Amino acid sequence: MSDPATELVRSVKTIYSLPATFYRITEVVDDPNSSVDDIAEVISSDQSLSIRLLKLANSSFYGFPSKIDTISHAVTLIGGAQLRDLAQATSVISMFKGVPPDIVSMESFWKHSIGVGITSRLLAARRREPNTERFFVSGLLHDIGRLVIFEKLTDKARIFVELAKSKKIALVAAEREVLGFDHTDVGGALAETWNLPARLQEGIRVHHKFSSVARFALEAAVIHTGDVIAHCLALGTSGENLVPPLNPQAWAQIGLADDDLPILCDEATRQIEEVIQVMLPGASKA
Amino acid sequence: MNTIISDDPNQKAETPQRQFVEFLDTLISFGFGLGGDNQTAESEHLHQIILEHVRQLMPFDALAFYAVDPESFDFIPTHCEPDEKLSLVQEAVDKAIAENTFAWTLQQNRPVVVHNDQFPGSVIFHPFSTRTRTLGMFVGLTDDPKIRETNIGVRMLSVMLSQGAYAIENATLTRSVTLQNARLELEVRERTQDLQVALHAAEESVRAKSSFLANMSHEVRTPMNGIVGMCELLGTSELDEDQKECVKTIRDCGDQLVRLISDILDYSKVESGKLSLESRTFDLVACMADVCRLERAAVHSKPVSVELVIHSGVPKFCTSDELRLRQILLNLIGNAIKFTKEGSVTLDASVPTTPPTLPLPQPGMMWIELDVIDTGIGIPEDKINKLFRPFTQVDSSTTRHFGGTGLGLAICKSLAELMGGSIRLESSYGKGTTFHVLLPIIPMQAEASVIDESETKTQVIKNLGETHPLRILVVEDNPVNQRVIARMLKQQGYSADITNNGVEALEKVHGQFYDLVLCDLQMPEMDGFETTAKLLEKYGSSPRPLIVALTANAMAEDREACLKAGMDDYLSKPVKGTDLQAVLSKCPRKPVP
Repeated sequence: MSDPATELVRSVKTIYSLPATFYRITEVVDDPNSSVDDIAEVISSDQSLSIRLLKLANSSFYGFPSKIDTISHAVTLIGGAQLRDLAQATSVISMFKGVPPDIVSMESFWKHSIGVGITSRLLAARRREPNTERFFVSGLLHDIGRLVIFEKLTDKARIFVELAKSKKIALVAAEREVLGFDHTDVGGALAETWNLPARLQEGIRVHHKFSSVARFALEAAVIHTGDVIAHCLALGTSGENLVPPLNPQAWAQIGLADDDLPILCDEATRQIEEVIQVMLPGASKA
Repeated sequence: MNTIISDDPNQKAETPQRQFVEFLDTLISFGFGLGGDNQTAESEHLHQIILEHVRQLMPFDALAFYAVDPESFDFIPTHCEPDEKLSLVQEAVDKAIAENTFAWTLQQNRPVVVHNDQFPGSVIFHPFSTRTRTLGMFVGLTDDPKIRETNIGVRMLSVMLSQGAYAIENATLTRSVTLQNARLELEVRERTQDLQVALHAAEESVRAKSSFLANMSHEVRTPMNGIVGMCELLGTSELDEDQKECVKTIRDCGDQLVRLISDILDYSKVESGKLSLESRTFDLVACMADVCRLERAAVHSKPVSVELVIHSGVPKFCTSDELRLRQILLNLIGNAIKFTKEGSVTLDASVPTTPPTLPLPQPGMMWIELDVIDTGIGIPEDKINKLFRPFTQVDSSTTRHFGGTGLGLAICKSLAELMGGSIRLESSYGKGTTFHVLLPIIPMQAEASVIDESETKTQVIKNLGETHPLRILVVEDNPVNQRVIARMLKQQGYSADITNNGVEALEKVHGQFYDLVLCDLQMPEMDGFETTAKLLEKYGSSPRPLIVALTANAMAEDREACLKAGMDDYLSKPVKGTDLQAVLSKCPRKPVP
């Protein structure tokens, strides 16, 4: 017997599967014998993905001083594994179509998610962590479980969204009250089915309940803090209308100075529109 | 790993695993190399270790390190192997700089592997940095075109370079800490030197002050002598009761002042280091007996007995500074009597059973312990330590009640320490006080005069006042001084014949034998030195009186002059009771002829 969240994910796993391109990219990136050109070739086979990745590579998200005009140049500069992660992020965004707009607008949801991704990546970069793209992806996917709930348990979702509004409680608490589980359980289970790296799963699972002794405490701390910052900057919403309280332990875990925050917020607001234009083509300008 | 000989498929499957293990071995060796056996590794040494291990990661065509020039912030090559590839490496670097890849690599803090037509293989750029500081850039050229940043060798490179960067930063920090420490040590040393100079100066100034005090008190003593003497004279003239009372008061005050000045002089002499010790053989037992006798005379009307107890082992004769020993005992016993209303003051001489912690100043010496035990008012415990400080008595009311300058104990302590000994005291408030004086002496066993041990263990000597009175001649031209010295002698229980000059004195000695001649130095007709010469001439080798100079010049060189002239001792004016006592005790007590 598995828990209801895992059950839910199991029932929908054929619907929410990642595109074949993603698996092909993963394969070529993981093969030590493949060259930069091999990777570039696989990515280039998906034209819309290639365009999006090149746009992203040339955006303020990276801020590379000259133009990157080939995928193979992007692979050299950004890295194959990193591009794979970004490819996965864009794939997921286009995966959810059936969320009723009265619960949450997809645009607002992804704006929030991209916002958390950007702030998380900036937090990591400020710490000089290598491969900051993984923090972007973790941030982007942190509330993914909520989309599954919204799409598949729409009626119950309406109830807990109302409950959160009327009782002025956090949405995650309302989810628990109505469902007996919350979006972190669902998101974690989904990440597991997608075979995402353990540290990424962790970020999704524990971003509401940080613990400094978690296996990937830094990931959890960064996503948690990124979530709070994105809420503060009012970068969209995933249905939650309240700013979650910042866990001081998580902030301590990241180990940045308070002075780092204003610079980081400026940078996040500077990047968000451009990244949204890349990841959510057709989104209205805010 | 392209040299697999075996056809065994299992063997083939193991290869990546083996390669991985080999990499880990390299990494472990690298870790130990960096840790090294010393924590003060120079960064040059660390660079060597980094190079040695980085080489093992893959077959590099060339590898180089670029460092940030601290002034221009340019990247300059610090190492390239092989040397001849430097221009090739530099070309790759220049190209990467031009294409922004170089700066990008530093900014992203991760390796970037570049492939292009110019270099058939791969060029690996890897920042050499800690989280907070960029030390430089690693550049590696390989002919393998398939190297990517996910390559395990490149990953190992990341581990080594970050570890290496931290090790070098640590070494740099350690070095600067060491330098800082050295600088601090130097500073401390300099400060200490400065302090020593300051301390020396301070000591010098204390000495100068004491010396000034000594000279000043001498200057004050001469007129004081006149004042006290004139009062004495005035007292003998016809006066009414009121006038007599006035004169007595003036004289008492004068006496007090003279005592104070004498004490200050003594103390300042010790402090200024002017006091030098003598070492002469003398009769220790007689000395102690004499002190007790003198003090007994000073008890006056109180029911206080002064007793002497000598334990076995105390030598009769010894070599030490008799004058100072006597001064200590007189002071302590006088002090004890002052603070004892009734009961006894005992001088208890013994050889300490357990050797003191103090070292004996010279071989051949032994310790004697002289305890002065009283049944007086005692001293509160919290005041005991203060007592040996100058100008301190138990409280100011004590000073008012008992008088005294508060210098006595400080002088005793200084003297005892000067002699190589110590003084400490035990007291129970209300029950009495014991001063323990510990002194090093040279026992004169050859004199064979150690107290007879066949007698009882202790020998109590009493009634020491019954020795015959001394015959004393005073040679002094100043009538005031004549009266002063006569009065002092009288106070101590002696009478003296007075003569006005050397001529008269020589006449006087024709008719009578004197034990002691106290002789002023400056006199009309015949001065002290001439008188002494004549006296010595008269007696020749037959027994002669002790000749002691009286002088207002209190400095050591005067004393030298006196001794040179054949005098036995000298007393500075105004003559102090204890000094006079000391001189009197030296007189050989011959039976009346």
